Amino acid sequence: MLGLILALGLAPAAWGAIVPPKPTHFVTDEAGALESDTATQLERELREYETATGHQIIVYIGETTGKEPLENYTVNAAQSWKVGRKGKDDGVVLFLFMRDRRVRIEVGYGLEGDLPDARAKQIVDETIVPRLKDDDTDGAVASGVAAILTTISPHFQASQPVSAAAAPQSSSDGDGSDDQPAWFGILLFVGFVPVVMLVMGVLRWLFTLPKGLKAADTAFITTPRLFFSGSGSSSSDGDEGVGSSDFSGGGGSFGGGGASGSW
Amino acid sequence: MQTRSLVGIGIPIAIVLVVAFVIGGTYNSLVTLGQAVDSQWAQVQNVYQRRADLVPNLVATVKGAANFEKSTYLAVTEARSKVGQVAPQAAQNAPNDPQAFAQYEQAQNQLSSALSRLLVVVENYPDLKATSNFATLQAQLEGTENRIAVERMRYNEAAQAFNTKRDTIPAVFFVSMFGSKFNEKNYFKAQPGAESAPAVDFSK
Repeated sequence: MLGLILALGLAPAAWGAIVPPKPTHFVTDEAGALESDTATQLERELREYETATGHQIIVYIGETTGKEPLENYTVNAAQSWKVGRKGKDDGVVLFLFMRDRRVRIEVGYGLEGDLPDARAKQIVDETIVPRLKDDDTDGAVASGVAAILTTISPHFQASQPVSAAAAPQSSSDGDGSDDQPAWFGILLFVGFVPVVMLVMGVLRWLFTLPKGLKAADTAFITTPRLFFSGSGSSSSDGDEGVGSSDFSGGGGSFGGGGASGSW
Repeated sequence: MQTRSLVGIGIPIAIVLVVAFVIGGTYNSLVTLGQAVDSQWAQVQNVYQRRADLVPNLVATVKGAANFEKSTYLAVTEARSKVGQVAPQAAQNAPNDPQAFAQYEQAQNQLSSALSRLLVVVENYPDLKATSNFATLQAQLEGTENRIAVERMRYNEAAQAFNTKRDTIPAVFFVSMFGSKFNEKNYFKAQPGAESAPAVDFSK
């Protein structure tokens, strides 16, 4: 009848929060709720979006939050996954829990101004929930993500997959061969690439290491894939396939902004 | 003879040095943990302030509705002014001062329950509920209550980290030397029933 009134008391049990493992993709579908085409398309779109704007926006679809209240669970998960960049806290996670029939948009501190609670609530109520009620999970997630992206970055347009790093490299190569003999351009190019890779590597190392250690998450030591996937994408030779540039949290922080709904 | 006196001097010096290092290290980490509590406390105050800032708008909106029960929004206004009456100095120092903390928490809890009563009453005014202005305020209030819960929880975690350090060896042997500098930090308590901050599920 009336709104459900819950005690948001601070049960000590809520302190040692249980959190699902860090997603390695922009779209994680633990419940098998999405068509694989939709997931692939969204994955590409969100990866492109991160490349273009730096904001990390991911989708997580699970079955249930268990006994934990939705909002506790989602803020703890988003916080421990470190979605968004460190210091900018510009991450957003769209959560769906299929068995609970609950949805939540969790907004990082840095995007609370661009995606205020009222707008998040509007997206949940008007874009996502009606489609979920019609059993159109794909449509709900795709249009929900689209609404989030246009709200935060009105000018962003998802494009066809293009190698982001290839363009500047070939243009600098072209410039060199216009004014200088070809060997000069080649020399420049040959000297330039290792320097860039070295700098990227050092930067990666500087930013990845303390984060990993602080989180007591030594995954990057045991599995260097995480470590290399980032620098791989910066000197990438094409972005085909879901696995070519996986998601890895950048150190963003969450304070409970966003909105929830149910269907 | 000479080596004996050297050892005789050296051992006490070594002991003093070790003790000084241990105390120094513990002192420093207590200071660090204490600052973490203070900055988390500032976050708590921020989100409570955010809620207090929503109140005038909320009251103005429900006032506009025909025949809205006056007592409910008067209770909110009153609770809001009580929150404002907590002296800033006392509010700032609340983590270290049990009395100030209790006063602050009580004022905020009173506003919480006044707000939740107001939202329950609003259910009887479908016309009001349907306005976009009220829907926006509802979403903001809901988000703010959620933020309050998050920041309170993180504050308690920070306070717990500090208190654990403070009450274990070696800190427990010397914290009293520093007077009130390392007072135990206060916790937010889980409130039974109606006393607690409400999470209102507006989807129902």
